[in-house]
Amino acid sequence: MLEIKNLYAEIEGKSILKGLNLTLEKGKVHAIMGPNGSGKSTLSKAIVGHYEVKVTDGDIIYKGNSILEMEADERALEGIFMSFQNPIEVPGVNNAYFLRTALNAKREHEGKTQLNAAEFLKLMRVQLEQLGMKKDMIQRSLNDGFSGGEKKRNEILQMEILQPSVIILDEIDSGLDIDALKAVAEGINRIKSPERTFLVITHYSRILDYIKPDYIHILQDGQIVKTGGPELVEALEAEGYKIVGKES
Amino acid sequence: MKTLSKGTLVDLLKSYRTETRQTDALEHFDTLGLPGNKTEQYRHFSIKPILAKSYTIANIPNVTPQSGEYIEIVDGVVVRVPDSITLTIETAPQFDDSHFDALYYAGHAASETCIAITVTNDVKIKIHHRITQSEALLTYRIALNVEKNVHAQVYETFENSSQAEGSLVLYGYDINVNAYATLQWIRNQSIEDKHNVLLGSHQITVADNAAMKLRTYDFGAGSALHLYKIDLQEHADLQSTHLVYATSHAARGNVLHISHRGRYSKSVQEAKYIINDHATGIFDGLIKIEHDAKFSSTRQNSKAMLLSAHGGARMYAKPQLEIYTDELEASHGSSTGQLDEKQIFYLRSRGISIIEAKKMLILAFAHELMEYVEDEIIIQEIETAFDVAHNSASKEK
Ligand SMILES: Nc1ncnc2c1ncn2[C@@H]1O[C@H](COP(=O)(O)OP(=O)(O)OP(=O)(O)O)[C@@H](O)[C@H]1O
Ligand SMILES: [Mg+2]
Repeated sequence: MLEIKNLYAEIEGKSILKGLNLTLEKGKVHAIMGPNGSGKSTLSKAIVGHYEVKVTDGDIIYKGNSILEMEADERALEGIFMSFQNPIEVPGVNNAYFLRTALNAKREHEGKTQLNAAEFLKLMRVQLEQLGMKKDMIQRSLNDGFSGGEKKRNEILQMEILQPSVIILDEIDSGLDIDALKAVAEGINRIKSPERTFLVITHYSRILDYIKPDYIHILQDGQIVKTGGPELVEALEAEGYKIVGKES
Repeated sequence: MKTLSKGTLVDLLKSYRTETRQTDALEHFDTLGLPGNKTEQYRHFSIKPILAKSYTIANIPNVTPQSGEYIEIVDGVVVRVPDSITLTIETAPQFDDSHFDALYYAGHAASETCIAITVTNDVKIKIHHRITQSEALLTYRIALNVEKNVHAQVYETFENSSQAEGSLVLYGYDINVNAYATLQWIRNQSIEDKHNVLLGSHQITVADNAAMKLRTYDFGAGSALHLYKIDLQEHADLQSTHLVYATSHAARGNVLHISHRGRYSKSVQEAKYIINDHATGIFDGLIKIEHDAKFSSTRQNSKAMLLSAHGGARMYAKPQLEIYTDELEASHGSSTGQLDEKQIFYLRSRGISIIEAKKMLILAFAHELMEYVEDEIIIQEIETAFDVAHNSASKEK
């Protein structure tokens, strides 16, 4: 579904991804673990077309085509979604209006009719309840003054509304309390389907207990150094990243 | 009667020297001198070519206004007035004798008459200005007197006939908000036409325990500068908010001299400027706390957002505070920034186009100042005008 080939990328002239290869399969959940600073967020940013990341070599193939030349909004319209490790606060932009604009952009791209404010709010009601979000959250400014956990839930809300095909979750579990973690994991499980691919970046096994990954990849120093099944998580938990041979 | 048919503003003023009326105003004008590029309040407006230009001198015809839903002023002439409003044409209008702006006096000296509106009961008034002449010099003054205890709202709008260009409009208000009265003055000045220049030179007195809310919305590609001298008496309360969206080669600005004269007087000023393309924004706010204005408070803040990528947009913000008393509260600040790249990216990463993302962020910056207006219909008109200005600006990345 998404193929990353020999990817080299830099940020601010610093080389971060160094020949990374990874294939994300349709209908599967891939988890990436790796030490701080190894390039996990850089990889997700490269996939969604973040302006900070400069790809210097290699390619990213999605639906058979290279996406490197596509703008971030085009990639999103084609179904690529990333939840931000640190969601951005946007004071003055109403959350509901933002969500509706995003959804309508997607619907327009797919040749569907636009939803008006009333239709949209109706759709939202169920989603909010499922995620355990207070109703007033969508009438506030986007992420403005949201707590860490509220921001993460809002990311999942966006994911559920936009129904993307490739879903990258960058540390969606960090900073969440037990209930929030459960709500977020349930949200993810709700939209799991044979048509979707997940790339879950995490430092902890807890979220993986809920969402059951098919593959675990270990990213170290800009490369995928090991790939395995769920059993890899236990080994990592017990021994740390020395199981891949390098000390970090 | 005006005899001159063509000339500069100075030519017009000179022609008055043969007449006896309003020599007083002319004297003040001479004392201050013709504004040039070195004159503080016009420094960034390039006033020189505007004043050097020769215009057709409009002859103000005698028109009996019709009854209508709002006050309509066409090229300086009142053509329509609601029956409920007391409006007279006065021949010897009063003016302030210590205004900082020479063009305030030029306006008075050049206007044979003055449109005088006296507000005696709570009312909402709309004043619509229409400019139809080309290459003309149009000067007119409006005196607005809000009587004691009266609460009034004045909503001012502007329209340019499509063929009218190259004119200079020199107008302005003399406003008295009397004791315990309140005036909300909303100006929605959207000029898409690039070719007329508008200068407004105003004098406002807010009397004891009176309140003035000055809400201005200046959008578009046309150039305009508004200059205000505002005096605050004891317990007077001024809130002034200024939203500017300047596009193309426009110069848009507000110059305010606010004097706290009475004790416990209060002023709050908030300005937000969005400057696109090659436009210039000017916010010059001088606040004086006079010796007798003990226990006064003042707060001033201006924020500007420069949008053009190639550095063509400019902002000149000059907050100034002069204090001649000791017991007071004062704060001021100004900042200039750009759209936040991180925020743009966040919106785009959800499939929102760059054009739409930028628009959302620009609106987020501006919207607070639109919400101060209480009238829903007026807010909608302002939002529409904002949209028009935004859509006409170039969409350079
Ligand atoms: N904007 C930036 N400017 C300079 N260096 C950066 C920037 N963003 C990331 N880096 C550097 O790139 C490297 C990889 O960062 P990245 O965020 O991809 O790591 P990560 O694997 O996601 O780490 P973590 O587990 O801590 O989130 C780090 O050394 C980081 O300091
Ligand atoms: Mg990271």
